Amino acid sequence: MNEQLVEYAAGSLGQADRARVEEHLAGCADCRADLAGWALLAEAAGTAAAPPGPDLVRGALLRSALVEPEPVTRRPAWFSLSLVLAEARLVRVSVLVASALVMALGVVMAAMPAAYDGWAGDVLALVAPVVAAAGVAGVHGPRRDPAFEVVAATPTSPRLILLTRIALVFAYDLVLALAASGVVAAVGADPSGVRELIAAWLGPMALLSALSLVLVVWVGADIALGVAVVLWALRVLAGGVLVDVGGVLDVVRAAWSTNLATVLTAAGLLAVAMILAGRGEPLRRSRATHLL
Amino acid sequence: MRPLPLWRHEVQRAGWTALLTPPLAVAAPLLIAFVDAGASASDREIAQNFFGALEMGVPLAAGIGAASLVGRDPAAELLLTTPEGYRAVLLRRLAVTVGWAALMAVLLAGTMVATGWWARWPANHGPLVGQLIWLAPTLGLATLGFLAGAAFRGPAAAGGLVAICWLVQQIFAETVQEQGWSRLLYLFATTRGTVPADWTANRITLIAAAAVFAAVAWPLLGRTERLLPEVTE
Repeated sequence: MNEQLVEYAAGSLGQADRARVEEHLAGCADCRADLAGWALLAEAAGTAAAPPGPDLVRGALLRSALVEPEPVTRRPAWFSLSLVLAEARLVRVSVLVASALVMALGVVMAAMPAAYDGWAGDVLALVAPVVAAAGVAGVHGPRRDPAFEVVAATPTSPRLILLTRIALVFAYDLVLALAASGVVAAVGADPSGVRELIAAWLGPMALLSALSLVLVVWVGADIALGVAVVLWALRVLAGGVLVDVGGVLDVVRAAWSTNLATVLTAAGLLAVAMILAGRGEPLRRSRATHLL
Repeated sequence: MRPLPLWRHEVQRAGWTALLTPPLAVAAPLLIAFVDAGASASDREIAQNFFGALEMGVPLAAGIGAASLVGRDPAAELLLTTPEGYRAVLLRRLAVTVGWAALMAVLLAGTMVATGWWARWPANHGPLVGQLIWLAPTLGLATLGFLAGAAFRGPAAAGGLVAICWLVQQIFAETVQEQGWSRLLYLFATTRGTVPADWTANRITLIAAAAVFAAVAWPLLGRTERLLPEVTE
């Protein structure tokens, strides 16, 4: 009966139901009291302002058609600098310290009495690439980046953020390797000069870092680190420890040098990593919540 | 938690670095050995690559894997709130890492013994005692990586230390073997040669060094607040 009382008060009941309700009301004081309350509500609703009609919609559409859109807000000139500074704060200090320590050990080894011509360059070519690749492997992904979820929620492109952070880490390792080359040349450990020393490690450093970056974005930091370590170990063993009659290690040695092919391959891998970084929802990707 | 699901969980948490690197480290020298076989390399040369995978590849993989165990667990704080000590969790993951690398080594060594390739390397020390070829350096580098992880509180410096240690022993092989004490700690005494009478002592010393590394790591791992990333004491 209560539901019918509401409709009765609103005047929306049919004739037969209306007669039945009135018959009931004649003998029920409680329902008469309820009806009085519903009638008050119906009266109050009747005095409320009418909802906006089609005029409102028409006016909004007309205004948006006639008024020029607001100009797109351009990023301020200092945006790039702010982004670099913000990303620099997210690079773990332990990674930077470890990179510097390993590179320092590389300098000590390179500065030792040369076993053969080109010794110092070979040592730096073994140390600098693995330092950079390990650093790159530690800067991306939900398990390595403490601000991954926050960064993914910002309007800034994930590609731009990844590129900025990689540039920071790689630039740091580049400065370390350049300083190491300078020190090694300064102590006279390699008579061929700084340029030859830099040429020994620059190409492999770029290639191994770019490969590490693709693997980080594609499958994760742990796999990138594992693959980088195995490739690096192969290059070490290609120095004469493993027997290579079939010429497999010649490929490794060729890739571990500075030439046009290694630089172009590194650039291509960097482009692939950037494309992969912008695809899909980072937090909804496969296995985002399960580690294996 | 029952033992089997517990260990399955620890396998998942050990991470891909620990799980992927050992098979890759074994597969790469094997690939070169197979290509060499097609290019008419001698049996001794091919066997050298097999033994290189065992004595150089497996220990490096185990060392890098063990170095990656401390300081990268997103659930470390949660685990510290459980009644079971975090040290036990890390030790189980170390066992998974070393065990997986050992399984790869045993499979390769078993195949070599069964196919006769084991006997084609002169200094093979027999199929039983010869397992120390991979076991001693694997335990040495894995416990060194684990200790470094506990001491440095993160995988970056620990992995770097393991890699540098491995690299130094590779490129200063002759220098390391000049002194008696460094000869005993040389990781690659089988494939890169040592004084023949020193081989057994070398293997025992490496295992003893592993025990010392583990003993030093034990109290460090007990101070669990040190293992949390970005926490200063």
